[in-house]
Amino acid sequence: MRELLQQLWNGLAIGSVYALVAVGYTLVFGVLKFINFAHSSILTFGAYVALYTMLSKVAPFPVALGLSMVLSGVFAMQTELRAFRPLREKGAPRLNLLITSIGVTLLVENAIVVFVSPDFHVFPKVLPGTPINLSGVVFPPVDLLLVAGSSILMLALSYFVNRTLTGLSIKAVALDRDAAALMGINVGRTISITFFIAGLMASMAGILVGMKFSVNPSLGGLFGLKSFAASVVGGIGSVPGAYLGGYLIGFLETLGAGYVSSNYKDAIAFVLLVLVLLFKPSGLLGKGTQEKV
Amino acid sequence: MTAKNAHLRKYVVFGLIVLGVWAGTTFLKGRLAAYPTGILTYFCINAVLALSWNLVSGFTGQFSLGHAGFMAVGAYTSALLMMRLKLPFLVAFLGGGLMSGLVGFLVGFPSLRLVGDYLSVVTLGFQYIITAILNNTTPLTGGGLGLAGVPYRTTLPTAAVTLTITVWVLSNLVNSKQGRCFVAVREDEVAAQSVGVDTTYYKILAFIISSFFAGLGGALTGHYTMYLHPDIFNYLKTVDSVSMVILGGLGSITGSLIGALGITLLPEIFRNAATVFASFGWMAVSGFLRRGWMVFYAVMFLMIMLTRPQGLLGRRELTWAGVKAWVQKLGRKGVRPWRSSR
Repeated sequence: MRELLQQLWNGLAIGSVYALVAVGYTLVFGVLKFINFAHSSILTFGAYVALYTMLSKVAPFPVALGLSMVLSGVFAMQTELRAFRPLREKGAPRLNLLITSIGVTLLVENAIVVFVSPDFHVFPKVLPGTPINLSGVVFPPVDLLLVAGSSILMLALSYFVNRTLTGLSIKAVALDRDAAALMGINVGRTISITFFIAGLMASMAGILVGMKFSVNPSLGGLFGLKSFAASVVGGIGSVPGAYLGGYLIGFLETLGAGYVSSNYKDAIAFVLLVLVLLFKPSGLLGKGTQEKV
Repeated sequence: MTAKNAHLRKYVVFGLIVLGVWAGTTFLKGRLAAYPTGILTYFCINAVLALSWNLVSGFTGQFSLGHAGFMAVGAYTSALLMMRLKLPFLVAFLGGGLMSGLVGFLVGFPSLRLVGDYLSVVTLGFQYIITAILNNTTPLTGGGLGLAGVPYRTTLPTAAVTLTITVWVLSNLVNSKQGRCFVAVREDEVAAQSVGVDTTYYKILAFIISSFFAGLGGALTGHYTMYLHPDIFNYLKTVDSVSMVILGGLGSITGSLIGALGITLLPEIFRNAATVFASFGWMAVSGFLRRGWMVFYAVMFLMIMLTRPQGLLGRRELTWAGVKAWVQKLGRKGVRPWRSSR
């Protein structure tokens, strides 16, 4: 029982990471209808900004966290402005957008390896105290921050998307870009804001993953990929679906590693992805879409 | 001449070309030093990989990111068939390709039934699954220790003949009925479906053939390096094939060859330049070239996509007639071909 509770807690913590990143994939997919592979590099970028702010000891952790989130948001916005928007305006096929997003990831990773360092970094200890031990179930401070921080961000996002005008315009653009433009929504600005929010959330996930494990140039790769699997499992384009998919993969992965075999831990997310694609391609919470000419 | 004769002639000509390539590369191998021979061999392997990626992504428009996974399947299958079952090279080599094609069917089936970019994610996930499996089947594959003692079979003639056959098969394929259907799927899936093209069938077919050749490319790699490790076949291996194709042209066979040549030479050029600068004592420049080429590579990748998204050749093929016409046009219009090319 104690072990099960511990596994469930671990699943919740890692699931929060997947949910935070998955929501970024889902939002961007919603407005642009393409998989932004560069999203995983935002996660790495955010972790490095926070790491170097902390290592240079210029600011306390909350400032570093805020700075990194804002910079990552701006960086994500810039990738869209400089790379994806020109391609979209040229009317390039979607394949080119996908390849370009791979190129952005390649650039970020290689630039970090060459100009910063190819090594693994341990994040400076910023959280006080020892792991809280409740009758045998251990709650490390990083996990508490992870779960609390991601819950706050998710609630804030839900409020933003459902209750504010800017948030509603994201939904409108996702539903029908041309109709939204005709209704007076500034589509370009809305897309920029979407990327900013996606970057913000990915950066938070990146920093906390960096604190939990370590910071390295390919940090975003596997986490980004599993999070994408999470957003497809939940139903791409659906924000609650991304949360559901993220936590589902988090739980299944830790339970699978704990009770079956830890060797195939990384494969669980993709097996789930294939099963969902076989039986319910629109995802658990996604709406089926009709092919249009 | 009857149609049957034309067919026969085509095969005879092809057989002669293969013989010529074999003889030519055998001659070259005897004359060249180890370094250029190695580069040429890598060019042939890379070109096979680029062509196979081009078939599924450039011609059929489906974005596959699991190329390295299929290379791994081909490389390990071929190596293990030779080492454990003592099969001859040719059987093991083809076995590697067939196994990879079979796996391609298993991966492609759930993801290609759907319209959209699911293939890219499933294939990328597949690559992680393959790595996990190879790492955890230590008694068979050597696991994380790697598989040492793979027999050396990939000589320059072997690689060159494989490349020749690949080019021949693929160029015949893309000009056949099936090839037209691949292109129709790329251009507009819904439109293709409405004129009776079974899009799912053709997408899966293209993916299986692509996986088969990726497996052959992987097997060539394994029999060349004589050592296999699950981490050799990482995501960056896939990105290499992608860059070759986008450099040369998405949907162009000769473009893939040019792209493969470029990407094979690029790190060598940087490495040699670094050595030259080091010999002048310019250590800072040399050190930057040694490390910085990775950034150059990424910037080049992005610049091609943003400035010439169709690649150098686009969907055109480089033909003798085309080159001749271009040279003649140069002669007519004077010195500045880059101005007059429009």
